Amino acid sequence: MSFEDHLSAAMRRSVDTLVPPVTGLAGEGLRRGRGLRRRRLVTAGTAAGVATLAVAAGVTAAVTGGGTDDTSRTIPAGRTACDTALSNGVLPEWARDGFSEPEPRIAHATSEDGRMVAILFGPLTSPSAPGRNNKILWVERPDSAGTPLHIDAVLPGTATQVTRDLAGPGPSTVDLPAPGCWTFALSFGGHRDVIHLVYGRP
Amino acid sequence: MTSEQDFVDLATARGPALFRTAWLLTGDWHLAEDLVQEALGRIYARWSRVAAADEPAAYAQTVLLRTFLSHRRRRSSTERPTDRTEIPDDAASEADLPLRVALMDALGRLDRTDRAVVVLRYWEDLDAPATAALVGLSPAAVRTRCSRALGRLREVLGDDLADLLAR
Repeated sequence: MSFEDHLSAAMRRSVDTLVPPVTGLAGEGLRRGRGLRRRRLVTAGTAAGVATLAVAAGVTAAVTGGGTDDTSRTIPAGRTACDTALSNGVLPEWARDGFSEPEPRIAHATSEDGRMVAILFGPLTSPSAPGRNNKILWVERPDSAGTPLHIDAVLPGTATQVTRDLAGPGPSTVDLPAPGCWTFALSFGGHRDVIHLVYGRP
Repeated sequence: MTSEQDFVDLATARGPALFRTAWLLTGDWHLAEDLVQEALGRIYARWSRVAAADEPAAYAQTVLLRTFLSHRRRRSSTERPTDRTEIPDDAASEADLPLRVALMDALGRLDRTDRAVVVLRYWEDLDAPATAALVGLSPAAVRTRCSRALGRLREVLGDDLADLLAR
């Protein structure tokens, strides 16, 4: 046998009895991949999202007026469920994967039971503004992970209902047929929650 | 089936083979694990492109190699290529341990590109053009590097390799 043959045989014998950590590889690879996806979105959208939050909130009040949602939660007078769900504060710790800052501040809405956060990269509009997508990054709380993500969106006070099926939490584009304070019923991995998002006029 | 499930299926099916290659490339259990996870993360981040590829497994191998080469480049200022060899406690039979230690020590004396070339040629059984495509060199450069690396390995291992295999 040549030296090359010996080398090849030595490699094969050396790895024959390796027992790779299969589950850990796939699971951690998935986690890192999600982080990379989010990082790309954040890089593209953080500045626009923060800068336009005030505009989005203003549009909310103008379009919905505060009396169109029928959520059972206690909503302060003069505010809509969308107003109370929306924040420009620091993301929950479990939703920061992929962000470079230790305490990232970005426009986001939190679901009623706190199982899901919708990170916004600009104002949501109906119809979508020229050259812009209604991009939403869905991040589930770690103890509520699950796929796929099914969305039933209704515009309270109307018969308008839209259904969306996504592979799971992560980046998405959700266009809706009318402006207003929409209620999203979310189903994912056996979990259910509700989130309110405002769609303004472009 | 979701794209996430498709990814998990690929990672589960190809993970062991990628890990074995990664272990030969790094000589370190934890670095190999990190390398495969990083490569799989990059694959998931571009999943739509991977899923559309004719051979996702080959794509995964390419990503692993390029991640390894960039990994080493990034860490080279603080780490020697492989000056320690970790042998997993549960992995090797007692008889094969000396062979592993000698092989990893010898591979650890090569620079990252030479090591990648040797692993691809003699573990993955790739020819020079296929190896060249993966490491981003010309086939002629691969042959030159391979010849040089084999010479270095002969110096280090010499006749010991045949003796260790005969045990």
